[in-house]
Amino acid sequence: MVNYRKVSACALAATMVLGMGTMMTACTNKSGKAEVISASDTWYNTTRIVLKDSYDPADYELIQHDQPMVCGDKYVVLYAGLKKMPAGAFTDPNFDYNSYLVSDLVEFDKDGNEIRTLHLNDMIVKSADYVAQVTSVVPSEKGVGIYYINQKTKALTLDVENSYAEIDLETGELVGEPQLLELGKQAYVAKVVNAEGYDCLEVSDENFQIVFYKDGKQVSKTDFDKDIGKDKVGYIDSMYGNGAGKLLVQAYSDGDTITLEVDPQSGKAQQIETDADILKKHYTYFEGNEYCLTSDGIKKLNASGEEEDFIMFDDCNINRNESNGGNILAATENGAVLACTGFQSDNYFEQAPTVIYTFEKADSNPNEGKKVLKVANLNTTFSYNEAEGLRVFNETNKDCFAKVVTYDVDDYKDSKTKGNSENDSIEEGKGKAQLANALAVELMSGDGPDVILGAADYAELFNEDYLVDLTTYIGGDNGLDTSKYFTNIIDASKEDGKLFYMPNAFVFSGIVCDKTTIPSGAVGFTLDQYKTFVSDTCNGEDPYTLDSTRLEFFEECLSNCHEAMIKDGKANFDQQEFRDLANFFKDSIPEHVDNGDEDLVYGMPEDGKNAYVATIGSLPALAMYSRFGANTTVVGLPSSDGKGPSVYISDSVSISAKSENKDGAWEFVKTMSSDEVLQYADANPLNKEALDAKLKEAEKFNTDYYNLITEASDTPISDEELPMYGLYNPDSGLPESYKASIESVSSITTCDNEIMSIVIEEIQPFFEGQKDLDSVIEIINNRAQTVLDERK
Amino acid sequence: MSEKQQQRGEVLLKRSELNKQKKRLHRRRKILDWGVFTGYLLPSLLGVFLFFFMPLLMLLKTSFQKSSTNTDFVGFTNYTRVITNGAFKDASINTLTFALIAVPLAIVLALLIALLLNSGMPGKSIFRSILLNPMMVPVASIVLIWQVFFSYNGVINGWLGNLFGLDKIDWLKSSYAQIVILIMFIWKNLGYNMVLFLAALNNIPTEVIESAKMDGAGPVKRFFAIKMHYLSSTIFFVGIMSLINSFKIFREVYLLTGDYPFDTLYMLQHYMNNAFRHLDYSRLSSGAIIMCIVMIIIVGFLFFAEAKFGGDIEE
Repeated sequence: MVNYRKVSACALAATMVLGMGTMMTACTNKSGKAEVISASDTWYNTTRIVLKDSYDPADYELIQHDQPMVCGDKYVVLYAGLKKMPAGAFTDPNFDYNSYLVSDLVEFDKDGNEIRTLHLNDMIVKSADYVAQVTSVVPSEKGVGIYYINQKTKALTLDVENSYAEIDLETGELVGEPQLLELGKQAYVAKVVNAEGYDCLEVSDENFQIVFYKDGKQVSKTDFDKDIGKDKVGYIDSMYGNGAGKLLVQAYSDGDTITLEVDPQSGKAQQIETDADILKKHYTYFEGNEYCLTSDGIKKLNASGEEEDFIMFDDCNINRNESNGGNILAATENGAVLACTGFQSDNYFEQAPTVIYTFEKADSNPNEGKKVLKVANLNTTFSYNEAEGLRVFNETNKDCFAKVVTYDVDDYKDSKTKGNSENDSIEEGKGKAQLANALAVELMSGDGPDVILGAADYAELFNEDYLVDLTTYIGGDNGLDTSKYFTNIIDASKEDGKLFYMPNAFVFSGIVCDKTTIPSGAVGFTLDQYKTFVSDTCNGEDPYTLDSTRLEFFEECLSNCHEAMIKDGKANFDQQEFRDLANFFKDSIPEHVDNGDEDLVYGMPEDGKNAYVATIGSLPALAMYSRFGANTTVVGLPSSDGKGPSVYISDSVSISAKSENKDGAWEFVKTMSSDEVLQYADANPLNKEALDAKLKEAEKFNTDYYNLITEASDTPISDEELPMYGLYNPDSGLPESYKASIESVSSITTCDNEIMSIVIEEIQPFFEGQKDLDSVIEIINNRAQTVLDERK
Repeated sequence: MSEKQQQRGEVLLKRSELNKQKKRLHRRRKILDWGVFTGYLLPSLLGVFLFFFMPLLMLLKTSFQKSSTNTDFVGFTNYTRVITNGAFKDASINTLTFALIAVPLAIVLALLIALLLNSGMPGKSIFRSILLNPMMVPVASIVLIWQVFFSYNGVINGWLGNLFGLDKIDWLKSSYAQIVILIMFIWKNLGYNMVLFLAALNNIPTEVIESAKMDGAGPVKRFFAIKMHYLSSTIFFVGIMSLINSFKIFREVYLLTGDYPFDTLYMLQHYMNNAFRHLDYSRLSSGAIIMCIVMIIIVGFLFFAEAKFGGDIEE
């Protein structure tokens, strides 16, 4: 028996030692070699064409283009609108409206040049007593199928006649006789979508319904009252094929969004539950295959119904903001055609152009030998300038090619509370904290991305273990000329003197009010000034808690100053600034009360408000609150020192501290911060000249639109009424005020999500009067310090 | 050689052959025994190896790696990082402190109650059932009850305020936090420990006690000189179980206070749980190995103490 024990013990010990040894040898040494593109890597040559039309917005009341198609070797786009009407047109009973309505089919060649315009109104109008309007166009056998209405001009009813006709693009003539559609007298075809081999007409009659046509014949129509419930289906938001022969419809029902699955053959509909990922996928059918456009590229369904990669955007070079929301016009074995929307400037009279991308599979990858630069996007989608910067970098840089890795904060949220709006802001914070943790681990290990877009929102990463201090690069030999930037924004972005991200575009937030109601020269409110402002100017109604809770307001104000409370890895909330802020919120800020004014649109004179809390990303955004005329100003949220408006960095770019290609990453940062790219910033660009150009575009739109409506109006329009149109008085000097607000910015809205969630949790009992501030501060310090200690 | 000598030689030869046969048979039986013994043990051994030793070895490997995604060997860097981390030190102190207070308290109280119940008091089985009930209550219910009692606006503060006019105490976010958890631990584990002691007390031979009585030994002398010796293995077992349960209290603490509780409640498992949440598996593994080593030392000490004080009983 003793022998048994000894033998067993020896065997066990030997197994453990052997096992340990085996495990240890499994530790390997990483080669440390960056990925390099080879000639055999998949590549699609991409051609980008902007369709250049000859419509001058000045000649039209309204002109818009929509529904591009590819027909043979041409691109065809529907243009609809209204020409500039002469004075008195609306009161003239004999006025020929039809000649002013625009329903044009414009054909473009492969280079985007306009080659022919077919004036459809002349072809489809029934007679001189009618006006005709094209509602939708679809590809057809001979060219283009058009759905249109004819309405009697002098009739006092809303009766219309819905018809379908086909245009032969060879001849430019109608094919045969138009076909009258079997729809109600007041039915209106709002939209036509070609899906699963059917023309799906969204028809607005007494209720919404969908009518299915195939080869010009009506196949079926839905009866939502019968299938879903009486008056259950309200407005139809979108519809698209699901890749399996059914139409997926998103509709509104009693204030909620519901998803319906409709069988085009029978018209039968049923409500289904689907998750957000499936709803994002819109399938288009070409030559026996289903394709869908995702943020990563075009995917195809294989024979088993599973998605496989088809044309991925890392295998070509396009602007990913343009492709987002695009439509696949054609797809073959070796390529595809995508219709997208180009850059929309702040001059809204000029609609964003249609951009066509053609993809063609190449025999070899022209980027052979370039090092791959991994770019992480923490914002899920790209802003236009970020997408353009990525495209320009890949086009011009000879040493590196950027490939994208997306981090979606939704993947890190608690799935049980997703979409629950009551917990949204708390869960968003927790999701971001989780994402930051996951990214931090990857960055530390050296497996993370080389470049990170959107890191400005993640204060947890502001550490030299994770991100490079860019101040050394900016001032270096290959640096940046910061004189053309808003240096106050750059300075505000620094953490303990270190710049962990380049702030390329930003929005600023604060309180929009009349500057005569605030202390002269103030750029923000001290706590006492704000109390006085709320009681005197706002009649006791706090502008922030109209829409938000006191806690959210507190969180925002604290985000503007919390960096003073967390320094050098130490949490110290026992500071006068924090105490003053907490006491102020407890004593002076009321809790949000839902007064049922959800429909009230703020910014209008009738809202009775004298101040608004707003986040401003463009001049038109400020114009919405500009009823104070020349006195409109934006000042900071309350703080102990009366800081100016705070800035939220919408576009930022950072370099990983463990990147093996920091030089390439820095070139990427420079491209993102260049004039060429920043001119396309959706929000306020860091570059002063780019901002001036943006303001000029916005001013031009404002002036033109202002002149238009004042000419059309019989009575003068006051400054107070202009925000209703999204306008401001051109003589008010609002652009200068706008720039002044930016120049007064000295703080950034950012926060450590984990610590902020602790502060918010602990401050609530203090606001409710259950605990004193000293004990709350002690607990916050205690818990926050644990968080910071863990990270060391 | 004489006939007698020849006969003697033959007998000796026969005897040696018989001995050889005996040895052969004995060896065969041993091998058979080994086979049976191994066959019965193999499934369990396999399970222990797959689900205990293998993960332990993988844990060890991860603790020497750079990160969960990078298998570079970094030596003792992770261990240094963990040992020098302030949060780990605080967590270790809290966990050890709690164990040092809770485990002896659990043993002593359980033993006292067992002695009381074993003294012949009426209603023994009812009391035993009542004391065992906390074991059956689900963790979530316990947490709910404790929240109702010990939250800032809970029952205890209500009593203190109404009956004694005292200020409210933030039980779970102050230096009283460990007391609350200690009470929860004792309440939950007392019954089980008591039952073990009751069983052990019933196994003490009565003749030994009686002969000690006859020799004039008083109750205290009888307890320490006789009963404690017989209870030593049970005390050892209860000690180890209580030590393990003192670590398991993290479950309730986590449900009560979340990822980052007040510092006196921040345990080693919080540190490791947060490391897991942050996907920092190297740090997690290093912390776990350090904790494992400390546990081995403590249990080793308990083995030594048991052998020293109770060894004569087994023999």
